Amino acid sequence: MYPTVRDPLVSMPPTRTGRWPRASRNVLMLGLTSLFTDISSEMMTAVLPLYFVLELRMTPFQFGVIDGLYQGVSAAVRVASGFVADAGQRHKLVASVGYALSTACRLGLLVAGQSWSALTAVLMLDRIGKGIRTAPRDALITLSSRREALGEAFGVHRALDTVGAMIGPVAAFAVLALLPGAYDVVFVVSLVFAVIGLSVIVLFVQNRQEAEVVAAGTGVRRRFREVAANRQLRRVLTAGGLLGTLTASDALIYLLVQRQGSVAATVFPLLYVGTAVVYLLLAVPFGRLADRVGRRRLFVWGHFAIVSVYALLLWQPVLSMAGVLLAVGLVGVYYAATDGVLAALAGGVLPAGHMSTGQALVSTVWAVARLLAATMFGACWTVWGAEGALQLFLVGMLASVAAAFLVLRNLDASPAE
Amino acid sequence: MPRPQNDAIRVRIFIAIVIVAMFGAALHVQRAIRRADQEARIREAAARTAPLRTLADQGVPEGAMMLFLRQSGDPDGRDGVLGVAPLTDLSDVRFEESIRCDRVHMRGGRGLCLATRGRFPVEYVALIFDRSFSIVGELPLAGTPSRTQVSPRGRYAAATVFVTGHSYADGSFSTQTSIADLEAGTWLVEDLETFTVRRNGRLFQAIDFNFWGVTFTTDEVTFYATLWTAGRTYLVRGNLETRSMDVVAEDVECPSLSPDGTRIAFKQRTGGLLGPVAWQIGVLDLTTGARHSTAESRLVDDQVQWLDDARLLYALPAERPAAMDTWVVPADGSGEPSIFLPSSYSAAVVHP
Repeated sequence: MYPTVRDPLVSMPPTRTGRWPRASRNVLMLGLTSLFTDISSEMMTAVLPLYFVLELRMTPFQFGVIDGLYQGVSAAVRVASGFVADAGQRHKLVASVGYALSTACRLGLLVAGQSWSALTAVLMLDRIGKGIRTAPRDALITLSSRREALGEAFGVHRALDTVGAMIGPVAAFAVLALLPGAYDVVFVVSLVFAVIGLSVIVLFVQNRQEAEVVAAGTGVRRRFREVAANRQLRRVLTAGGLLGTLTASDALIYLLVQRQGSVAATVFPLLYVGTAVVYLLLAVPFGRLADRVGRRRLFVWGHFAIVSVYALLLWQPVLSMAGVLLAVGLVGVYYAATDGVLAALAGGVLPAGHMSTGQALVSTVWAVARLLAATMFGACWTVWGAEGALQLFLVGMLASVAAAFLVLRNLDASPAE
Repeated sequence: MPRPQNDAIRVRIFIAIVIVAMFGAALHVQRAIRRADQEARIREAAARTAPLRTLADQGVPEGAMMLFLRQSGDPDGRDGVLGVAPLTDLSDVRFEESIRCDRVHMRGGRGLCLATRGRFPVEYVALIFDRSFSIVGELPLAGTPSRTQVSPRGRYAAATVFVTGHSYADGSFSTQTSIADLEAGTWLVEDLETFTVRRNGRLFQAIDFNFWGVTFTTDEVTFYATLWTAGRTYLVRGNLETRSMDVVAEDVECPSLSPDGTRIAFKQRTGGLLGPVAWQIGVLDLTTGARHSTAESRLVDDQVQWLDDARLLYALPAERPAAMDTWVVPADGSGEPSIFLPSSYSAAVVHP
């Protein structure tokens, strides 16, 4: 358990004994920030379609265009914010700016009224805020945790984050239940949660700096070369990219589960809840498991959950209720074994001074790979039908898992890797 | 590490922020409650002082009539209520307050009303009603109502709803179109996406298929609908017995078949990719494939209805807030649009 290599991380939180809680205060506070912010943003997500269509009488396709617009924005902003955060080792400041921007957007929604362009701008800024905060936040979690417990730290953070994502829609619909049609009240309550989340990071999270800092003023290109030249990071990116491009999006998997399991569209949202519950319950145990058996191993193994989903959908053309629950649970297992674990895996190998940029690259490559997977799956469906697409992705995923094992085999680091 | 007293100050600041934020929210909630109470009082007062003329008192009109949903914008809470008026005297309107819909259609003595019920949890239902406007059946809907159309002799009805995704990334809408058997009171086809589609004789399939805007021919089992995939719309002709469809034209949205079965009125997309989507009315001749526009130059988002073989009906937002009017325009491109029935939408002609 104890690393023999020199640990590059400074300002280590004091070691605590006992099983709970092992995460540092900073990680817990970042988790709480995410929890409150997610309550806020999921409240919006839950009611915006209703608000746009029922109240503003927008056609759903107008809403679709708004939605599609901010997909691409987040990724570009993410890497840029990583650079800025690393340059002055101001992870907390940059992350806080991201949270502040999204908070301001809640206010913006209240004043945007019914203007299509104003609403688009507000939602776009919200996505930019999310793009800004993600990488420096993950860098802070890494820098605030003992290296051998990184998996657990990210597990704690992701579990809290998921709790917020589950409370949000319930809170939003509770408001609408008590005050029918009072969308402005939903926005105001959402604003309150966003303000609380922002206050937690500003007041209680401490910035962490690395010992070896890249000299300020080093050119962007040189710094990018430095990160890109890091072999370990390249291995993680390769493995993540390989596996990501064969992971069909949740939406696609749920669509297939719904068709084959004849799930009524009215209970469709419950599929997401099922996945979230499993993810929430397993995030911390899997984080600990990753610290024990090796994060790279758990990350790669986690993809067998997706392989199982593909296999289940292929061999059970008519899914029973148990099959539906199994598929939904397996997606949760997949997230618990990969989402936080990948960030922890990256955190353990990132070159000093590039923590935010590295996390940004990993999450961007991951997101782009998943987007590519969704597109490829759709294309395969058009040519060979749903079954053909599943067969191809099943075989491809098995090959990718084997390749990822090889790529990550020599990832040298502390025994925990 | 910060000093302990520094920490204590931060905790106090945090508590102060939480209290101020909650207090602000509480004030806003209180205002919203007062506003809701006021609106409820206005509604009650309006219902007492200005009762609607009802079907129960006046009876169902003889002969051809207009069926519509009330959309006056008045704060009396009675918009969406089903109304009828004899075609010979449109001012003689009568309402059925027990039927309140987002979209309605009726033919051959049977009607389908797509309704939103309750606010929490919001429930969407399709109500089947008969000649005397009594509800005889109810079917669950999967999302917010969009379009409905009954077949000429009242055997089947199509219902299109919008189904929402859940997370940010999947937040885009998709449609679900179902076919109800009005006689049996059950769904005949829960999702049109289970039908086989052919284009130029070859199998046409994609994950992003969406169907909407069904219109039936006089044989009751043949229908036209819109298929959307990869950013394009197609006009398909389908058959309920063979459970298949063929692509017959491109860039046709929300078709509506003329009573003589020779032409299709539809929406043609005019909006750009980045701006709001917008539509104008077009008419497609099914035998020649020729298309032309109508004299209506404003943006119409509706499934156009045929008043007769020469005139089209459609709803447009009125100048009065939250109100809509039904307009009429010649189908051949001539003439000028004019208001046909004010304070109404989802209007359709019902022949006895």
